[in-house]
Amino acid sequence: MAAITRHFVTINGGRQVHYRRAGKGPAVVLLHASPSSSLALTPFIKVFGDHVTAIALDTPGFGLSDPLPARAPQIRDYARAVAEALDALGIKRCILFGTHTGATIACDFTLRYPGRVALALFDGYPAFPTQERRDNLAHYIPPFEPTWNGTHLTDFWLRYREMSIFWPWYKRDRAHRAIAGTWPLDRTHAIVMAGLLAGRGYAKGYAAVFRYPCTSAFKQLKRPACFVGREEDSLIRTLKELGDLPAGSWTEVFPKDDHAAAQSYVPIIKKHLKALTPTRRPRAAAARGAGVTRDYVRAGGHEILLRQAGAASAVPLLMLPAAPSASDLMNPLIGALSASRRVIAFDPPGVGDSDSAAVASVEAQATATLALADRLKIAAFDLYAAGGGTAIATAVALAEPERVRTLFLEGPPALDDATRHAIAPHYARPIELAADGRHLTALWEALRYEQLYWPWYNTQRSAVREIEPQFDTDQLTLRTVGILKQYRNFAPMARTLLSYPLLSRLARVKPPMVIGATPSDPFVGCVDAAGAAVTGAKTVMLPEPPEAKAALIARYLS
Amino acid sequence: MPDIAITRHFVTVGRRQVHYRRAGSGPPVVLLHMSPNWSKSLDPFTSAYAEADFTAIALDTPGYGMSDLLPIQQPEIGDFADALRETLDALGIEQCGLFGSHTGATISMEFIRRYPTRVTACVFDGYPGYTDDYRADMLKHYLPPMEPKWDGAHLVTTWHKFREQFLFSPLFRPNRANRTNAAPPSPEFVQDNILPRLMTGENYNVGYSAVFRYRGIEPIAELRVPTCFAARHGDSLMKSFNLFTNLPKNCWTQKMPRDLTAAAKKYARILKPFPAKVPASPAPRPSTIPGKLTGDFLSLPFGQVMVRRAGGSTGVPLVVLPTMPGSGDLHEKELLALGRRRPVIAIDLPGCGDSDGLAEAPSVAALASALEQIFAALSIKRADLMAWNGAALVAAEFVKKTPERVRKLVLFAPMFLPTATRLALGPAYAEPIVPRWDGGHLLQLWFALRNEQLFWPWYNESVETIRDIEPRIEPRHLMRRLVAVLKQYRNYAPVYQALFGYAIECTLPAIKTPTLVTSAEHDVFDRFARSAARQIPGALFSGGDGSTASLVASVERFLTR
Repeated sequence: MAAITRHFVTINGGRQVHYRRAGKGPAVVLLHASPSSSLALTPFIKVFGDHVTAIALDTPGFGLSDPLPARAPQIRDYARAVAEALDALGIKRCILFGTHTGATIACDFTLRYPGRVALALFDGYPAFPTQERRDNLAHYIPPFEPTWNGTHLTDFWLRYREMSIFWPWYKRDRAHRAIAGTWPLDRTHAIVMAGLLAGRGYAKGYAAVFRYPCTSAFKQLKRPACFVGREEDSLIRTLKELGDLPAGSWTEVFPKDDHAAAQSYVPIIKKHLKALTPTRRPRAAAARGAGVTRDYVRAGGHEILLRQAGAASAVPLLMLPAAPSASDLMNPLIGALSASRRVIAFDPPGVGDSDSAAVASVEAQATATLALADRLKIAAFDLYAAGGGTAIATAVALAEPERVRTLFLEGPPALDDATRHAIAPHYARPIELAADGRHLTALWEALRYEQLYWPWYNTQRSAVREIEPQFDTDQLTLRTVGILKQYRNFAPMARTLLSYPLLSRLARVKPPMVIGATPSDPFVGCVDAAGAAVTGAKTVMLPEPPEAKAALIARYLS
Repeated sequence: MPDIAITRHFVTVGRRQVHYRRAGSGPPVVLLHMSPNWSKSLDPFTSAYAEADFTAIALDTPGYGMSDLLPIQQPEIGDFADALRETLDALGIEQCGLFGSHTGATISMEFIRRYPTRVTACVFDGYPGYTDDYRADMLKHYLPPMEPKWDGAHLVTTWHKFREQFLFSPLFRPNRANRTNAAPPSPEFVQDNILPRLMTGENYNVGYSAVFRYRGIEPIAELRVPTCFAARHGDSLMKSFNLFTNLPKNCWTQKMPRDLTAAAKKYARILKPFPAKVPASPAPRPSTIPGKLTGDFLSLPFGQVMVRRAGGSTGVPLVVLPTMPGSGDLHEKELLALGRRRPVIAIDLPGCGDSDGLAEAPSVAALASALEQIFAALSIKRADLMAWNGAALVAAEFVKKTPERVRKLVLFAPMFLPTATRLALGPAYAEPIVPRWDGGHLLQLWFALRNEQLFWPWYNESVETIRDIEPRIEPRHLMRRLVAVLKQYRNYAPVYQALFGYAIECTLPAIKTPTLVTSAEHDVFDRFARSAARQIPGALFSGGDGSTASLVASVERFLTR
C-alpha cells in the first residue's frame, strides 16, 4: 500500500498549508470535516494512493495549517484558500473529494472554479435546512476558553463524543438521537486533537459552514458530482433532503468503514482521470517572509517537523524542545534568536508533530539529530535543548563534539543518581484515553503541579516550591496539546530521557556549555550542580518573560 | 477507652427539618460547621467534646448537609441565628456552650448578640474577620454559580476547588504571596469532604454569601459571653487575629496546633469551665410534616437506618425499598403521592443511601434479614411492600422467607434478569469507585449513570445497543442519583455484585403474595418488566406512560382493590 508522507507549502510567503500525500499520477485532492484534519482521511489517502496521487489538505485553522486571517471567514474564503494551495502545488485540475464540512468547501470550490474540477465527490454533504443552520450558529460552537483547571479540554472531548450520541450534540432528546455507536477512543482523540490545535479559532470553519446556503448551492453545479451517504453516518439522512440533483450528479450509499468506502470510490475515480496531468513531486516549503516556517524533512529514516527562521548563517542554531513536550511553545524563542542567524527547531522522533516512532534510546535520538543535521547540510552548529531534550543534546555533543560549537542547556534534569532512579519511572504518568475525558484533566493537573511541588507528585509541605507559579492557561493548553499529539510516548519517553545519567555525562562534554533556567523551571535546582560538574561551564539565571529570556540566550550564544 | 459513638438524628422545626450528629452525655455543646461542609466534618471536635463529658450536638446549617433550606429567599446571618434559636427550642436546649468554625462562628457571633442568655461560653475555630474590601472582593469572585453541567464539569471543578484551597488563599488568586503552607489531602479525604458540597449543590453559596455580607468586626466589642477567638495553624483565618483589636475583657485569642486531634482536645478544654446548668435531654423524635418527606433514623444492632415518611398514621402502611444503590429521596414525588391515602415509609437498606452498612459484605439474603429487623423496629406486623429495580430482589427474598409480613407486593421495573444476561453483565456492570487524585472517578461515575439512559448495557456503545427512549439525562436529575451513590461509594460495586449474584429465577415462582409489576420506558430495567410479571404466579402488569401520575394511579388501584 502507498506510503503517506507529510509536507508544508507556503502561500505567497505568508500562511502555510500542511498536507498528507501518497501515490503518483493525477491528483485527487481531499478536504476533511470540521473539526478534523488530514489525519482522519488516512484510509482514503492510502487506498486512493494506490491509483492516483492523493493529496489531503489541512483546512486553514485545522490540523497544522495556519488559520485564515479574517475574523469571520466565509466558505468562499476557504474555497479560495484551496485554490491558492493548489496553485502553490502546481495542480491545475483534479478530482476533488470533501467529507462533511469539507464537502461544503468542495462544493463552493467547484462552483467558483469549475475548470479545475474533473469530478466532485461529496462524502456526507451537509444539507442543513436554514433553521437548523441558525440553531447551530447559536449553539453548536460555544467559545473555546481555557479554564484554570483544564475543564475546557474535557468539555471539548465530551462534546465530540456527544456528537456520536445526539445530532446536533446540544439537542439531547430522543428526536435527535444519532443512529450510531460512539467512536472508538483513538478516533475521538484524533478528532478532538484537530479541534484543540485550532484553539480559540476552532469555531471559524464551523461558522462558515453554518452560514452557507448548502441546500441550494449545489443545485448550480456544472461538473459531474457524486453525493455519497455513508451507513450509520449522521448525515446520511440529508441524502434524501437533497431533492432534485443537477444534471451530471448522482447519489450512492457506501459502507460505514472508511477503508471499504474508499474502495467503493476507486472505480468512480478511475473513470474520471482523463485530461488530468501527473502531479509534480513535492518540494520543500518556501520560507515565509516573516516568522517561523514549518516543513517536514525525511532524515535517518524519520519524518521530522522543522520550525525554521532567520537568514542563512555560518553556524546555525539547532534547538530541541523539552521532550516529551513539543516545539509548539518555542515560536517566540525561535523568532527572537533568528534575528542574526539561521535557527532550526525540531520535534525529535516520537514527539509533537514528527513521526510517532516508538521511543528510542537517547543515543538513537542523538543519531537522528545528527542525521537531520547531515540532511540539512549543516556541518557545525550551536545546540540548544530544554528539560528532557538536554539528554539528547548531551549525547549529540558526546557523539560528535567537533560539530557542536556551543551547547545551551535550559533546565537540565541533572540529578544525582539516587534522585534520578527515584523520579525517572514516575515523573510522567501514562496517558490512557478514557471515554469520560478524565485523562485530560489528569494531564493538565500534572503540568500545573510542576509549579507547586518538586517533584510535582510529592505534595508534602517539604516539597513546596517557593516561586511565583506560572499558570498561564494558554501556555498550559499549548503544552498539554503538544504532549497529547503523541500521548502514547509521553510516559515511556520521559522515563528514557530522565533515566539518562546526565550529570556524569555532562562532565565529559568537550564543547563549551551554558546552563540556565527560569525560576519556575522544575529543574532550576539542578543548574548549580550541572555547572559545578562541567569545567568552564557558565551558569545563568534566565528571566521569566520570553522576550527577555530569548535576548539573554542570544547574548550567551554569540 | 473506646470511641464514644456518634449517632445521627433529625429534628423537626416547624416545616423544616434539621439533621445533626450527637455524642456523649452531660451539659450540651452545640457545634456549627463551616461552609459548605456539614456536621460530619466536625466529628473530631464532636468526639473530643463527648470525651470531655459534654453532650456534643453538631448541627447541619440550614441548606447544608441534610438540613432543609430556610424558607427565605436570601437569608442573612441574622436569619441563621434565629433559625438556630428555633432549632435549640425544638431540641429542648435552653442553654449551651457553642463551638463555631468559619461560617459557624459568624452564626454563633450573631446568635450570642441576639440571645446572650442562651450561651454559657463560645469558642471559634477560625472567626471570619474581614475588612470591608475583602468581603466585597469575595462576594464578587469567590462564589460563582455552581450549576450542574451536562458534561459533569461542575464535579471536576468542585473537586479541584476543594483541593486548591489547601494551596492558595484565596484560591482564585494563585500567586506566591497567597501560597499556604498546607499539603493537599489524600483522595479519600477529598472525596469525603466534597460530598457535602455536592449535596448542597447550587445552594453552596447561601451561607457563604451571608457571611461576606455580615459586618463581622463590629459585634466583637459588645460580646457579653466569654468567647475564645481561636484558629489552628494552617487555617487562613489565623490572619484575622490582627483585626480583633477591640476584644472585651472576658474574650481572648488563642493559637491552636495544626494537628486536628490535639486541637480538638484543647477546644474541649476551653469550654470545660463553662458548662450549661442543665444536661441535654434525650434526642426528641422528629414529628412528621404534612406534605413533605420527613426523615428519621432507626437504631438497629448493626447501626442506624434512614427512613423517610410521608402520609398519616392510619391504614396498612406501604413500606418502600428505593432503587439500589440509591436512597429514598430519589422517589420523593411517588412517595408523597402515595402518602395521600396511607402511611408510607421509605427505607434505605443497610449500606445504601443514608443507612449504615452491615458488618458483612452485602448480599440479598442478609439485606432481607435486616429488613425483618427493621420491620420489628418499626413495630410493623404486616405492610404492603413496594420495591424499585435491584431492591425488588430483596423484596422477593423477603416475601419468600416471611410471606406473612407482606399483604401486597408492588415491583417497579424489577431487576429480574434472565440468567444468561445476569451472568454476562455482572462482571462489568459496576466499576468500583476509587477516588483518584485528579477527581476523574467522578466523571467516570457521572457518565456511567448517564449512559444508562443511552445504551443497554450502558458500557456497550454500539448502534445495536442504542436505547430508543426519551433519555432522562437532565443534569439536576443525574446529580441526585450521583449524590445518592457517592454517599456509599465504597459499596457501589459490592451492592451490584450482590444483586447480580442472586438467583432470582429460583425465588419468583414461589411467590404467593398478590403482586403488581409496573414500569416506565426510561427505566434501565424496563425491558425485563413484562417477563418479570409472567414469572410470578398471578402477578399483574401495568405499563403506564412513564409519568408519576400514571404510576401512582396503577399502584392505588392495586392496593385499594
